[in-house]
Amino acid sequence: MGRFLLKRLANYVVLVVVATTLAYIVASLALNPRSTYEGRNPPPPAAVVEQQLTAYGVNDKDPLLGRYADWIGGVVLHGDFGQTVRGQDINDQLGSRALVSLRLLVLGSIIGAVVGVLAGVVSAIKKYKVTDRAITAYSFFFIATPVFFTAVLLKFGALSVNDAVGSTVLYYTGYETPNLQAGFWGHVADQVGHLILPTLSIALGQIAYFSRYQRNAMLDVMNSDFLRTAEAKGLTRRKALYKHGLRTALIPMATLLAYSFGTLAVGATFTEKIFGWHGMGEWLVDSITSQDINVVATVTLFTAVFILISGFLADVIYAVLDPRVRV
Amino acid sequence: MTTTQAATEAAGATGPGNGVEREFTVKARSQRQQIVRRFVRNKVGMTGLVVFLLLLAFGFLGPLVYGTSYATQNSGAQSVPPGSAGYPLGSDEIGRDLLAGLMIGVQRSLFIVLLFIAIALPVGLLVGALAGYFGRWVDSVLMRIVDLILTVPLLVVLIVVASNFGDARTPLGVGIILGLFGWLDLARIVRSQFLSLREKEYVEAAHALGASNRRIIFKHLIPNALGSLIVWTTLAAATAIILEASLTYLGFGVNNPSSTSLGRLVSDGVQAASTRPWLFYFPGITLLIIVLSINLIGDGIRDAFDPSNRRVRA
Repeated sequence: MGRFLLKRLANYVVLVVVATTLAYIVASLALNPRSTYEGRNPPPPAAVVEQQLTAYGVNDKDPLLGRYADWIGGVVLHGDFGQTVRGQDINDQLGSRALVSLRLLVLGSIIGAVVGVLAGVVSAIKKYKVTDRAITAYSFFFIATPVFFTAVLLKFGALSVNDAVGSTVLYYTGYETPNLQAGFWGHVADQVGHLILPTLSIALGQIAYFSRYQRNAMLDVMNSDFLRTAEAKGLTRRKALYKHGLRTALIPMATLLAYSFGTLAVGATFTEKIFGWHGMGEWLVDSITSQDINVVATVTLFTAVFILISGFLADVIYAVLDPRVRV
Repeated sequence: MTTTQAATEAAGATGPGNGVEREFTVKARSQRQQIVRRFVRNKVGMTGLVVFLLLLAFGFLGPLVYGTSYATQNSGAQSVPPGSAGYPLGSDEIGRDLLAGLMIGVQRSLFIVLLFIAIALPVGLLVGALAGYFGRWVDSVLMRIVDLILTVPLLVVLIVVASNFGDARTPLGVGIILGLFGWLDLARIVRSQFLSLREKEYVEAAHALGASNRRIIFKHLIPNALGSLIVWTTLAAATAIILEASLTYLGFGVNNPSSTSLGRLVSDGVQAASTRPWLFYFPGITLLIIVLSINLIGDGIRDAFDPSNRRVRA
């Protein structure tokens, strides 16, 4: 198993490199950083524009592979992600933005996956009972709603909660109150208050998605012969379900887990945009609008690493759960 | 099963000819008939189907009956609330009728979904089936390609591709873009299903009987993976509608001045949510109902294919 996982890890490292390369090349071909200098009054001299673009490594007149080599060289050797199209250092923003996004992504996905799987299992065991119907209705509702629609609804909900309580309990803009003087615990409380709604907006959808799949997988397993055999040899229904059933039903979920992080990184963009979090997702959309190649590549590198860590985790789960799978 | 059916058909064919009256006429049902029957008897699935058909009528017949065109701008009736004379669901800031807009929007969204499924389903199924069944280098090559496309975030790919179409993105274009990048998760799901299905005894038996790979894949493996295929199709159809709405919300979806979509109505509505809530709620609820009905149909079909999961255990 160790060798299998090591092989997968090596694979993933290669994939991160290739993905970043692809993103850089695709972004370079599609985006036009030159437009930042167009429409300025007075128009800057052509030579200055060329010089600036070359200095930032985004001049489309320089050879693409050379520019890419410079950029990736900077990243690997010096941990330097280059400059934005307006000349700011990307590294200055990267740390804080990554932390903001990670807080949201990790918390949202863990809550989503764990609660979702549990809800799915309960739903399958209590098939067609009230609990199952409630969970099913819940997941159908949230699968059918776009994240930004839920987020706006949550915002309205928060407004009425705050009105009812009389003070601001749930925050819906930003990830902390600026210039807050409240000591350590005050800061923690403040950040948690800001975190609730965005995390909810991510987790609600994830729970719906996971519980649906888990319910289907679990139902398939519950009617299988090996579970009947397990009961026949004397296991209680509960023990048979959790020791034999759940383990098998979790196998398809491993694939789903890896994939869901990709969609999550997408979903987080909307959450960040609506709740005013300055994270990676918001950065990505802004950078594509402002034709910023280096930022697009940086965000892609971040996302690729994030997805590949989860892909590797899925492989570990795969290998632990199902020794038969010959990958 | 098939034998019974063949026998009955033969009996039926010869029956009237030589005038033999049978005391008991046992009608055999084919697998397909059984599935249709189970689906028709499933309340939830049928509810979804009825709602979906109503929405189809709403989108495609509605404009003919209703008469008002969404393109008509009335400067005398800008941002009128629902219930105003001539505007049952109100109007937007340039005086277009929201109800007419919803009809066109539903129509366009269904069109986008159809395109998406028509492109993504065959591709994903084929890639996943080949990778899962043959394993070895086929698996490695195909799955690395899938991994590769999956590593670049879907949003980046979609936005970059979409941004190349500039200001002329119609529902047709958006549907194709979504389809071209929508099959990746299906391929992974089909592959993981095939990985365990190919080890089953009946596949070994089929091999031993000399069945070709093509026959095993199409006659044995795909029917047994049909449950997850259908669950995927319904969830993905839902996702396609939502993805279209999301792309449009970010400004990279349908943006052709003369075309609209449900997503466009919803994302316009989000901007107006606090001042003109009807522009937010009505498109949002329509989107919810359309996605919900598709999912309910999928659920019904799933139960119809796999009666072992039904309430009454055999």
